[in-house]
Amino acid sequence: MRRAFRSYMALTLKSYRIAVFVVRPLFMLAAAFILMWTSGEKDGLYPENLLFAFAAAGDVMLDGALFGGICQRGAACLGYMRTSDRGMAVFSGGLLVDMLFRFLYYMLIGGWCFLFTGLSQDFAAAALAYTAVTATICFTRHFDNWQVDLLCSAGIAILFSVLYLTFGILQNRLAVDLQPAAAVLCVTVSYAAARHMSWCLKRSYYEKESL
Amino acid sequence: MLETQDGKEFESVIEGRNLHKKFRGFALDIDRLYVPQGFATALIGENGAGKTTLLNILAGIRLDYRGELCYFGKYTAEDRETNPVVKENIGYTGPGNYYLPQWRVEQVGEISELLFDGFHRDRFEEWCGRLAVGPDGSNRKISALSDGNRMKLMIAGVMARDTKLLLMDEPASPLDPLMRDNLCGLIREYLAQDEGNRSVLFSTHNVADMENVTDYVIIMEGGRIAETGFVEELKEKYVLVRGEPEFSEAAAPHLVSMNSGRYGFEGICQADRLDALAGCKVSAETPGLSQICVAIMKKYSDLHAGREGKRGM
Amino acid sequence: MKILQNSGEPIYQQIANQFRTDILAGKYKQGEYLPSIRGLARDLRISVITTMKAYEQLAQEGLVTAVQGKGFYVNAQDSEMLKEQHMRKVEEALTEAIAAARIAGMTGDELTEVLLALLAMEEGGS
Repeated sequence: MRRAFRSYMALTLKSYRIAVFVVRPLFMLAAAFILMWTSGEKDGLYPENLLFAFAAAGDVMLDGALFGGICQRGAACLGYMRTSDRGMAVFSGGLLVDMLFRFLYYMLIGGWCFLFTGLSQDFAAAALAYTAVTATICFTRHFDNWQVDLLCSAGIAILFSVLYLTFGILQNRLAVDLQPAAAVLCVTVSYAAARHMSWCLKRSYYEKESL
Repeated sequence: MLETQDGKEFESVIEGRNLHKKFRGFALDIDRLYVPQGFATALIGENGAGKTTLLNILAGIRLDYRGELCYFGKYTAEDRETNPVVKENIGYTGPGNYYLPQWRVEQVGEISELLFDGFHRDRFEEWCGRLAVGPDGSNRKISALSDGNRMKLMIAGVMARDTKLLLMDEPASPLDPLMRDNLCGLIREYLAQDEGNRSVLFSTHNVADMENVTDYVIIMEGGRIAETGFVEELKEKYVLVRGEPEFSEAAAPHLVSMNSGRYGFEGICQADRLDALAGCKVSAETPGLSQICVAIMKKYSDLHAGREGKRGM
Repeated sequence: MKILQNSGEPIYQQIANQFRTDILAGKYKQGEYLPSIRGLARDLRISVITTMKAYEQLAQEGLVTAVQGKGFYVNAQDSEMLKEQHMRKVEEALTEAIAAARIAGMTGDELTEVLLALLAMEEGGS
């Protein structure tokens, strides 16, 4: 585990880490606080949760800045990784740590909202946002192209909002607690994303064109 | 496993059998591959002859090929993927994008530490300084480095490790002439440091640059190996002949390949065929390595074109 | 050691000649190892196979012996054999001189005079 953490530190840029650990959380915590303070519940919906949509959109752009194109055949750094017998392990370790930090970040924001509202729904919203981001970056990592990232960011904001509204409405109508479903979805998508990355890395050994 | 040449035996650092890889419009097809241990081997061929593909296969960067390989006399290709000792001892440099463009020079050092046990950070920094990677020694982004600097960075990366085999894909191409000279010196120093146990295999499409450091030659053309041998042996096997223009037609069939013009002809002939040129009043001398390589490559590409032509008909 | 890249003589031959001269002149003791082939190649900035061929030539002439994994060491130089070799060289050179003298129309006495004069010059100089 420590090795995976070292990989993460080595593979990522300092500027990326500053954005992830300092800028992003501070901004989100501040924005959530302001929203919660200035408005309240309206029709069972909480505006601070919709903030997650924008957080998710921003995350896609951030990931694209560093790892965009990593899943492509002939991707830039993978050749170097393959010259070592543990290259793939090191790389996927770093990616997993990145995914873990992403999850913790969303839970942090969810927890922050929970402190104020006392609603476990906040965690569910956080989980849904995390799920949406994780699924989207599996797609954007195939393209080394900021326009694709931007498009997907917009898409993800929409995707999350739809998910959130759907969950909210279903919950109200069905009077069923869908929060466990959100948790399950979160775990499933994480697993699928990890498998997908693994598959992309293995596939890089079998390119059609030479590097 | 050993390689026999004129009764002398040499250990091989890499041996390959029946290596096949098919691309669209191109196929790598090698029956036997020997790379002798303790020497600098040049893999020579035109662009598109299959050198990069072969080196990628040998370095373990691509796995989509058929055939058997044997490293250091005892490890197979499967061992290479599972047993760390093989890749630990192989240092690879190549011309492509091997680093993420957003990375910085220092980061390459950190990542290399994770990837390889035998990587020494202090040596890496020393080599970066010695090779002047990035003109002012600052920690630049990879994307800001020129091709030459990126190649120097890769070289610094492999020199900082303890390896027994260097696989270098076109190391001289992006480098300026001064640095190319340094590269030759670097290779000699590498071989000299562990007498007989270290080997270098590099590819080049310009023999003249690396002629002073080449011990063994593998000439590739169209995905196949056209000729191999130690340089001194090839210089005895082939002869450079020159003659008057009136004899060029008579001489042509006996030569490996030939340049002829108004003022005479010049070509490479196999030494044991020299008698066939007796009537042509030719002068014979020892050929240079470039001349031998060009002649063989020409012969094989003509053969290839002839084959293709026949198929077209 | 001077290596001429563009002379007609192959580089390995030049190296072999230099070492042969040094060995016969006694610069290397019996049993002493010559520089390693890769170290020499590095210092002379040439390929390993060239230095190897030079040493192999010396080994063929009996001047050195190859030891697997260690290098080439200098053989004991038989001083009688050396003397004989050099005496033979003197005979060959003198035979050539005589042939040239015939062509130039010199007599035996004139040739001997030249030889004595040259010897005197050499002794005077040394």
